[in-house]
Amino acid sequence: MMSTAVSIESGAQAARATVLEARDLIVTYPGEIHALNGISVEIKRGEFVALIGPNGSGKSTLLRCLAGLMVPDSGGVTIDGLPACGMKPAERARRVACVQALSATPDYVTALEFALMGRYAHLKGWRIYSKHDYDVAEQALNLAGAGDFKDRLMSELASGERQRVVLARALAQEAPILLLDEPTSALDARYQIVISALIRDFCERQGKTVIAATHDLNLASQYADRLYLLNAGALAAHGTPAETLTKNCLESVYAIEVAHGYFTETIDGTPRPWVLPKARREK
Amino acid sequence: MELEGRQCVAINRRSLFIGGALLVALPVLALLAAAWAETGYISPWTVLSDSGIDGFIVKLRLYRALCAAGVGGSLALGGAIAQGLFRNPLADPGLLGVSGGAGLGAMLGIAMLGGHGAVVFNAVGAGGVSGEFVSSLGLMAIPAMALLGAMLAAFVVYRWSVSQGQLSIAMILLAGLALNSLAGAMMAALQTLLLDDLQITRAIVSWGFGTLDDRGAAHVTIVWTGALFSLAAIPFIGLELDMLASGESDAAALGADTRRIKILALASIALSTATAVAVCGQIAFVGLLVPHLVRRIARPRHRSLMVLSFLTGATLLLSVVVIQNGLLPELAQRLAAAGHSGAAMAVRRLATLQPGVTTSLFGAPFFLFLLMRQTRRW
Repeated sequence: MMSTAVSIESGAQAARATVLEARDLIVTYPGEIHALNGISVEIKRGEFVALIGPNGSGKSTLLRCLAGLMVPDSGGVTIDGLPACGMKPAERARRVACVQALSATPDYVTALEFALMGRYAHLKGWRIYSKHDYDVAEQALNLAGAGDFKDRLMSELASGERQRVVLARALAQEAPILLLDEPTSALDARYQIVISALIRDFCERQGKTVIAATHDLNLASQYADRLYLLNAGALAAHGTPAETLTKNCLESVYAIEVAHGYFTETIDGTPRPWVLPKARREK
Repeated sequence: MELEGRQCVAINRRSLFIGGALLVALPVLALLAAAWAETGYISPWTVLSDSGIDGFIVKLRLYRALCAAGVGGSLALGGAIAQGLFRNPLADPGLLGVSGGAGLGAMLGIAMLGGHGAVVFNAVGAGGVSGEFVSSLGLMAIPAMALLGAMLAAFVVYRWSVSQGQLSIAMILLAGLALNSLAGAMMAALQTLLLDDLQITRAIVSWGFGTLDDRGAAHVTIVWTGALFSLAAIPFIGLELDMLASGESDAAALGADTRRIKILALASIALSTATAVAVCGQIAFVGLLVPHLVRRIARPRHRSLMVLSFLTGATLLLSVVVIQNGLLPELAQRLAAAGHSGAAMAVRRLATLQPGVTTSLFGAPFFLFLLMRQTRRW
């Protein structure tokens, strides 16, 4: 049951190369808090992987390590088989695009100019954007559903619109690996589906690899190939949505009660679990 | 939506237009400053043909004009970079501790030149610096010492702010603040010690508010070296400062070498400010005010912000020179001729104010005015 979802898109699943790998990552923040406590992950080309877990479980830290933006205290990350920490920033950015939760964006640039920043790693010499850079940025904005307001200033956009522009900037990077930290957190129901479907399409048709940290368990369940469930800096479970999102596992990790069942109208026909936390009163 | 798009394009065009206008205005103003000053009108072309006194005077005026343009441009450019790097519109190039270091260096230079200063130097065993050597250094001792002090300050602040290979912006601000107040205290102490040497005290006060008089080719070389270095950095930090606005980690994710950008930006601020302050002392408000002004009239993406700030700063200080040395003396003369001797006297006094005082006198109220109407259009 679990392998059919994957085998539809690629018959030669076993031959798929590992593009991103982390071994025994340990990250300790000041105050002896283990953000990551010996996590290993292995991501294959074309996979859509979701990282889920409670607040503070280490999802963002893991993403930052995978993107090479943070050097773990021990353990290592390899991108396309090469150590991430040895790469020059621009070379790394051409392989991996990483969208982090942004606290601020420059408010004096237009959405198009913001998306153009994604082309930075491709610029040479005097760093002038070419016609091609503009085309790629505009196309990325259109894909992310942000083409309508490409000439508006970032300060004028609603938070969901801004989030799509930030995603477009990552798409403009044209990197084969996309790391996304809560890409749908500010989106309305329609764009949650639009963006998730877009990401899924990237993986299936363009062979891109996407790892997204999210709190939306149902969205992760419906669109991801595989899930990693993190808890307190360690892996609590991983595998297909059906393997990871079990009632027992979720109830123990999140310390809540959940209603749990299976969708059958899914993108690939495989039943995928749905989860609904049960309401309760303050004790 | 469409309107917004067109507005942005229009504003981009306006930036280009303003930049072009300033580029034309600068040489015109420089020629005006060379032709027209307190000693009367002389054709600026005499500098090419006349090797006599007129040619010499025009040459001196040209040096002053070039210094003014270089200093104004450097300070404004330093301010624009500092505001981008520190992500704070109230940042000033002086924050790096550079101006404090330059001030202390200059004061030591002034002290070395004469009076009790020389005695003090003799007493502490620096007597090897002979009086003749010092006077042959002449006026260059002050900028040289100021430059040394500024570079030393920048280096100390930089070393302080690097820990485990990471350059912390917050540490730079704190270290710069500490160094500035330390330099300020040492300057105050030095000033107190040298108080009964009137000449030195006068020189210190004069330097404290900036002076553009008696500048030579060496001064011009110093200030334009710093200015050209910082201008040359613009293509390599312009886009990057825009990217830094959404955080260092985000800029790094896009492929920016944040460490190199920070070092390049810091070096540009330090060098442009140090050379400007070394050559003509403290000119307040240009570094803070001009980038703000540019943000109001043009689109403040850092590439255009930096170029326009430089041009505006240069034009501003050059205009001050033209007004103080050309316009005001002329006005005083007319007033005197018309019999208003009191008014003529007042105008003549106004003309002798240092450029730093003038920029502060007009700059501070203007700045308050800008703050009051904080309604930003973008």
